[in-house]
Amino acid sequence: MWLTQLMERNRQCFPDRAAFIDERRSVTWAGLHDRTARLAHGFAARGVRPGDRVAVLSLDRVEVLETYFALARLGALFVPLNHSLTPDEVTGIAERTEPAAVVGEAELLARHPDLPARLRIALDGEEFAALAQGDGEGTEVELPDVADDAPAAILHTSATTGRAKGVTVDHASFRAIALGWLASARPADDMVLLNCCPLYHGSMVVSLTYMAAGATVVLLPGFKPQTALAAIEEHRATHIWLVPQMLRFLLQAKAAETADLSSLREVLYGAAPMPVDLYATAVSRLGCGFRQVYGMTEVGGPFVTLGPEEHPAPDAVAERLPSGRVIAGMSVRVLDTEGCAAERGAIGEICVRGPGVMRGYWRDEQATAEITVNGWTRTGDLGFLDAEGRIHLVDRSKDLIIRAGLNVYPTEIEQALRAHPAVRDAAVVGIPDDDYGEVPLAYVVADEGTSAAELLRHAAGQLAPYKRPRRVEFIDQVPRNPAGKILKKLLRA
Amino acid sequence: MGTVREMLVELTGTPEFAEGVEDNTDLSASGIDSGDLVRLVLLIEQRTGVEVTAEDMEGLITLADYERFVAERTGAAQPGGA
Repeated sequence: MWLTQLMERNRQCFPDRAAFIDERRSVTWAGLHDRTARLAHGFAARGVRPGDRVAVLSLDRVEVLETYFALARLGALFVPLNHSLTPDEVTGIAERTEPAAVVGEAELLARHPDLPARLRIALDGEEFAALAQGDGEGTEVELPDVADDAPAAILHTSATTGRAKGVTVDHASFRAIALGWLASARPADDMVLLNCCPLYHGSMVVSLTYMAAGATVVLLPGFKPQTALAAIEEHRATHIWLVPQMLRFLLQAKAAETADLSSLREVLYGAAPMPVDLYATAVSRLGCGFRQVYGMTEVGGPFVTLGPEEHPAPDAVAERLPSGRVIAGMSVRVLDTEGCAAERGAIGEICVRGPGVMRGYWRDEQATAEITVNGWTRTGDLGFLDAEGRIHLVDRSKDLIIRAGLNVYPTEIEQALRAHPAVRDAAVVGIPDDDYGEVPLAYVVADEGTSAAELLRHAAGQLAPYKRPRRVEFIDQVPRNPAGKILKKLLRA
Repeated sequence: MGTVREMLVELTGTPEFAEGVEDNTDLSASGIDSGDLVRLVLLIEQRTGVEVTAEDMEGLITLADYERFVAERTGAAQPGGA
């Protein structure tokens, strides 16, 4: 219901103002309202029902958000798919979520001919255009009154098991995070947010919060520093949402030396730690405010923020910037290893509670139970609360690699490598990387004569590019404890 | 090996990808990580001193496009050219 409500409100308040802009076209709030109503009717006429899942496979573009909003009106769930996943990875997600339809760019749909669904619609094709313009079909169907607690989306995250988990988010979750963000970060309708993050990722909730304020969201079909800089100039972007590694690339581009970035008021960054050297360079080069975003798909997205007023001067940052304060309506507690509240200043696991939290993992009660402790959702991040109530992250309890803001679980890479007939064992760790923050390094025990190139080629057939090991090193034995657990500290040493 | 292909090998650290890419393959669909393609453009700027604009980016699809772009902007002969 929430997405429909925010769209309706913005249609009333700012009918002629651009809601979304991409490289090809833009749509006003009034236009979005009308097009999504026609799309919802068209989807209904083609058999999509409330509660059905619809997979979306596309680079970021206006039609993706139109599809999300249309499905929300219909009470169907959007299931964004990462377009860089291999066909096997995509098929795995589709088999678990059983989409009634797949909507995507024609070229990407062609790459996944085995994607199971009874209806396929190309976002960039004539059928979608006809649906959005109203082909007369389905208008007799009355759109349902979608309940707040109805599921709205299934967003996928990497998982320790090596199989992506579907995070089921309802309309009330989107609303809770948006209202909390409106109260805490105060986005406004005069803002133009350049969204550099993929809309298939939980980070897309950040853009939803700015839409809730009536701001304009500019989309890019993948991040390129040169096009992002040009988009800031062209649209006079006031805000930009990216991961720190994108910011580094942006500042390295020659175009950054001459681009007019004077419209920028805030750089929103998150999904990976901000390197101190990059923060110092960005502050000096951009001269605008910085806002940190700390989020997790399972708790509804961005639930903590450090605003510009609380960002320390670069020379006052010793190792890491604090993450910030929890947004209005959500609660954070630091729990010790017994599941009890840790004392102020003591390190424990950051846990979250509130109306933004997911309904659960899609059809996976066990995993949902495992991530919940006494009603609190575990983030897997270790940190503490300071005397002023700010959250500081210090480490991760999960065995996780964050590569340019995308989570990669070593288990998934290890399983892919072990599937090679010459590999007897494998262990993967994250190693620091200037450009990506971290990259996976694979230690492999393999038959004599096996080459690293052969294993990398094998991994390329199994894993999306961002999950592939950057390097393979051969060892005689993977160090394990008596219980068989890999001793990764020894490999990182 | 062309200048840009050498840079691609250097960046990916995995010669079998970069060497296996055909001159006329769309790099964004070749299985090379999108971040590595961003780094490739930045490296071209850094090594050649040539600025790559957003407009230029629209015409840079294949390895041959990149090689041609670098050759034209730096005045160097294209690899394999007459």
